[in-house]
Amino acid sequence: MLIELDAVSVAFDGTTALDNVSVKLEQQRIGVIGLNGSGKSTFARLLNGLVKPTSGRILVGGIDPAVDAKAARAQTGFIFSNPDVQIIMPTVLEDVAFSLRGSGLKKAEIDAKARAILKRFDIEHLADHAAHSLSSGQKQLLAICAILITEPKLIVADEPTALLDLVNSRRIARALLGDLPQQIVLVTHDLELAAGCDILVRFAGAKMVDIGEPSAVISSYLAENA
Amino acid sequence: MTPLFGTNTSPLHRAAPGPKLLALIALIAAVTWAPLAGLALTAALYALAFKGIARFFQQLWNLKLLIALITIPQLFFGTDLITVLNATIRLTDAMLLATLFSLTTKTRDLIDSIESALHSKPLRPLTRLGLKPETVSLAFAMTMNAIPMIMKFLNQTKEAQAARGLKPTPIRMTIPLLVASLKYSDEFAEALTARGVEV
Repeated sequence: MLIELDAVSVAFDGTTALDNVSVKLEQQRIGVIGLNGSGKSTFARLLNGLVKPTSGRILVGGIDPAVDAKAARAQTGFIFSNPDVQIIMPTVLEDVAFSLRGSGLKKAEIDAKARAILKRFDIEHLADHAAHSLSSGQKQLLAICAILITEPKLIVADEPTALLDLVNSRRIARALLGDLPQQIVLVTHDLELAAGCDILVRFAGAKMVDIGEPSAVISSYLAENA
Repeated sequence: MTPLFGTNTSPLHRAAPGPKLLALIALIAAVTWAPLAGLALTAALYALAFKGIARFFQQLWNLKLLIALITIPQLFFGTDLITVLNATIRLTDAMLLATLFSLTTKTRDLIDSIESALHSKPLRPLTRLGLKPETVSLAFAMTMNAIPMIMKFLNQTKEAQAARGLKPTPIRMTIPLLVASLKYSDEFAEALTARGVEV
């Protein structure tokens, strides 16, 4: 799916969060790196209409999220860094099933689909547990399941491993960068994770300053911030 | 970590939420007339739902502070002991029954029942007045969901204050708790939007 930004700028209360960004991306795994406040999260939020451009135009798979946010959200799943805020329903199964609310499927069909996706990520045994009682890693896997059950074309993950330990970070990395058929935009500070992407985009001071082969982008990022 | 509902298949767990809620309301009204018999009946219902009486006493213990809050002012104002006991047992019983309902009902089943009820003929006029059944049921689910989060913030605030040598007091707790809750509500609203929830 083609992600296309044409001279996109975003400003909040007079502060520029993204400054005149133009880029075309259609790789399967797109990594986004940069320092805090560089514009990474704003870029991610543009993709499903959580943030609207102040100027310029964005198209994701031919849909402008600023014009048709509902259609953009139907094709784009979003994973936040804090898994706690993504939990809507009290139990694991209910939370995953909630994503298919209003899909027209029968409850039994929804439950079967929810259990199947939990099984795929080895957390089916937690189906009837209180979602808030899970570990951070399990909560993030739950968030991924709740997104994937809707079969989005694109997944945007904004620092999904920020609150996780090494083992859980690697578990989430495997889940996201493994064999998912979906295109993924992965915003991260974890350079090991970023290195596994097909292309890296780097932001600095609200501008896109680098794009290309992950090893080259990471090298210049490290050199610039040594 | 234990399942919230587990594989419990007691008659109370299997009962439809709507009739169960109506039965609960009727039972709460009935215990007004016979408090002790009502408490015994509630204990029996807990035993039926959880194959034993332990859960009943666990919930009773959880209510100890509320029971104290109900009882002490009445004694302080000189109400006679029998009246105090009757009032305390009635209120405790009502809380135990409400807890029993939430322990034996899946939130999803409950919100489905709320939506069905609001779409039913007698309540349909409310939807014409602008009430959205989906919004009401979602608000209910979110309220249930916010409780563990607020408890988590409370514990984090207590720990942070204790770590800095402060004894947590209700006044010292209020502002950090409020800030954490507001931040959570902002982030939660964004996550809801991202999941395509329109309210």
